[in-house]
Amino acid sequence: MTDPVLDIAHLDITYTVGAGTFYAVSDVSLKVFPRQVVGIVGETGCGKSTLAQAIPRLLPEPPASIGAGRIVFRGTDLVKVPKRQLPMVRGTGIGMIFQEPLNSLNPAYRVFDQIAEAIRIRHYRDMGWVKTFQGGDVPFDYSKPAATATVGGALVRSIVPDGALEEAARDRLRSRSEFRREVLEYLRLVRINDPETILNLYPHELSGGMRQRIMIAMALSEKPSLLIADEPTSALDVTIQAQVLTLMKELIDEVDAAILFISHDLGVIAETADMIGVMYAGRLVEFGPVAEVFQTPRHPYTKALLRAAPARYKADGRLSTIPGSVPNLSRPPPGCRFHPRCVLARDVCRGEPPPLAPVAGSVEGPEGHRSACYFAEEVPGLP
Amino acid sequence: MASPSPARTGRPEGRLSIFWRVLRANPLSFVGFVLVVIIGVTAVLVLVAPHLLVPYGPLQQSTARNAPPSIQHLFGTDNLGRDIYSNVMLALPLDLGIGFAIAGSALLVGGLLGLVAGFYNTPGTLLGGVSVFILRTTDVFLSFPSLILALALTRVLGLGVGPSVLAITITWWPFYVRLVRGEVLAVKHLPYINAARAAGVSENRILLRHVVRNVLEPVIVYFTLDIGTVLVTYSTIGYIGVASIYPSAQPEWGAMLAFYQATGSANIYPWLVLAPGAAIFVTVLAFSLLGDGLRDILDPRTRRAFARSTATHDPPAESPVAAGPAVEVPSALAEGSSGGLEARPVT
Repeated sequence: MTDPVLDIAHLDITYTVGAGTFYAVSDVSLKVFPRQVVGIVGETGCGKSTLAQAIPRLLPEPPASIGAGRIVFRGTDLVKVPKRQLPMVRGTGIGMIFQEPLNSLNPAYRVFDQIAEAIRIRHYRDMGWVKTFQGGDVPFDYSKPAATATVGGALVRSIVPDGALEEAARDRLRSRSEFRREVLEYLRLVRINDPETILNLYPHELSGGMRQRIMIAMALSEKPSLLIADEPTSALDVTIQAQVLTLMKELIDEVDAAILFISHDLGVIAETADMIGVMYAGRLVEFGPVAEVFQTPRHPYTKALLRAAPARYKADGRLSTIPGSVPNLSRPPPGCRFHPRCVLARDVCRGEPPPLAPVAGSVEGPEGHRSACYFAEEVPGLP
Repeated sequence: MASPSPARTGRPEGRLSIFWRVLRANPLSFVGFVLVVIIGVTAVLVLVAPHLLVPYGPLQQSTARNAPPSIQHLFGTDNLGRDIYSNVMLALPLDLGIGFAIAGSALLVGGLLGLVAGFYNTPGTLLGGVSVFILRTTDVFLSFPSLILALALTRVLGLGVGPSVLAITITWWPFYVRLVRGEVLAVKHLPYINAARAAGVSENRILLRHVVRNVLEPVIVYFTLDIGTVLVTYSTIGYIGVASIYPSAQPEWGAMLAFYQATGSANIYPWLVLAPGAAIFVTVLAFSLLGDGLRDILDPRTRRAFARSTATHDPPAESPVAAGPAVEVPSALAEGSSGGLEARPVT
């Protein structure tokens, strides 16, 4: 088994607002492997967006704070990276697609400039202008200028073939037309048919679907090894949603990136993801292969969620609901956070929170099906 | 992609041409623009070649005393036969310079402080502390009535143009801090800032490239409007008689008003105050009108809308670029060209 691109372990994230503390994400562990698509589902406020934004450390800290745990991205614990070095990490390997395509593009710049900025960052990185985060626990020093006149530079020159450095230096000052070619390439990648026209438009002249395509192009143009899609289709209307989703599914095969797909839409996850994680009130309650989780959910919440999906609407009956309401995350219930609403709840559920343990009959290892329920075996099958 | 047509390559339209288009679509700001150009050119001419526009010296007396406006004396003369027109003209470069100097330095100082106070306002950090300090200092200045403070400072700093400009500037920058900070706060929480951050753009570059560009519009508009306000304030201080001396070799509009008002001649010979008063009025009006139009020019949304609406009236030969497909049919194209995915069923 290869190493995971992203390895989140026991992550706690809290928001401190005034005197209150909200436990937005509690003890979440998750692994994403290369080229894998991991979907995270959950209701509004279950912490899935917080989780998504915490990975590239985009949460405003304060009010948010990462209390415990680690977010290991390609061998580097992002929790420990100093704030001023974060841009390098983000530009190096984590691409992000946001919920609001309407506001996620700077209204003052043309599409070309927006994508060119992302490409420029990658080029500067490749050229050594902006040092990339190499990984490991040792933060590197990016304040040093690129070594050319130093001993190191002399050493480099003795190794690399003649003219290669000059070529690299020329490449640094890439012309507009070269950038243009590359921007066009990415616009075509996201299936924009007339990229030469789109290039010169401002974001407000594009539809929501087009803007989301531009966002995807921007994220991909940095050649990320992890792409985080935070509800990329939620703000779009249904037909455009389907288009963007189709695009994303096609890109999954073309782009060499692992994808963390956040959504509240079970259908979207079912279509796109290999693995699914179900979150409830800040905790990951179930994790496993999509088909397995959808067919035999091993957590009462997952099951209730699947039952409540309108896709299972039966002509005669009412939509199934989950009794009770989502707990206040400033005072989450002790133990399993779902127990006040759970039909299987017993005394033990109010004690220690159940760990995310492999369920019986599932394969071992990261591909396995795991559930955070003491009574995973008793979860009744779907009707 | 073999040689695409010019309409489809590079920048579709120059900034100057867009500027011109928006101006033509806005009659009022067009008037403002023309006035500002005339005022500017006149001021330069007065400085460079005074003999062209200024027939008499500022203190030169003639036998025509208290003469009403005539061909010889366009705005009349005062009780010693000094030509009002010449004095108003000579005051133009000074008053314009004062307006730009005060508003400009206030914009520079206040704008920079506002950017820092707005963008780096995270509590608990060094810059967060700096931003709190900036804001409290601003509050102190804003709690004074600015005109009174400027007057008091002028008395302390001394009589004359330089000290009074400095005095007004000292009272003026806090407004820009407030304005810029407010705009920065509004912009910095927008999703595209976070999107840029996610793309790996550094904080400083986010501030300089993404925040400043989107804060620029309201600030520049405010700046142009403010030049008028500054002129009025300076004239007020001049009117009270602590800024400039009149009559002198370097006249100033406010001081002229004050002088003729104080001597009482204005009651009998109204042209003495009408001329400098009108000069202030026209200058302030010109900048205010231009400021309104600038908002449309600087905002890509309205700018493009204007460009498109006027482009349809243009014969294609005159502006082939604007009439080309790059500007004309973007949204239709954009929707229609979404990769032929529409028909595909989602399973």
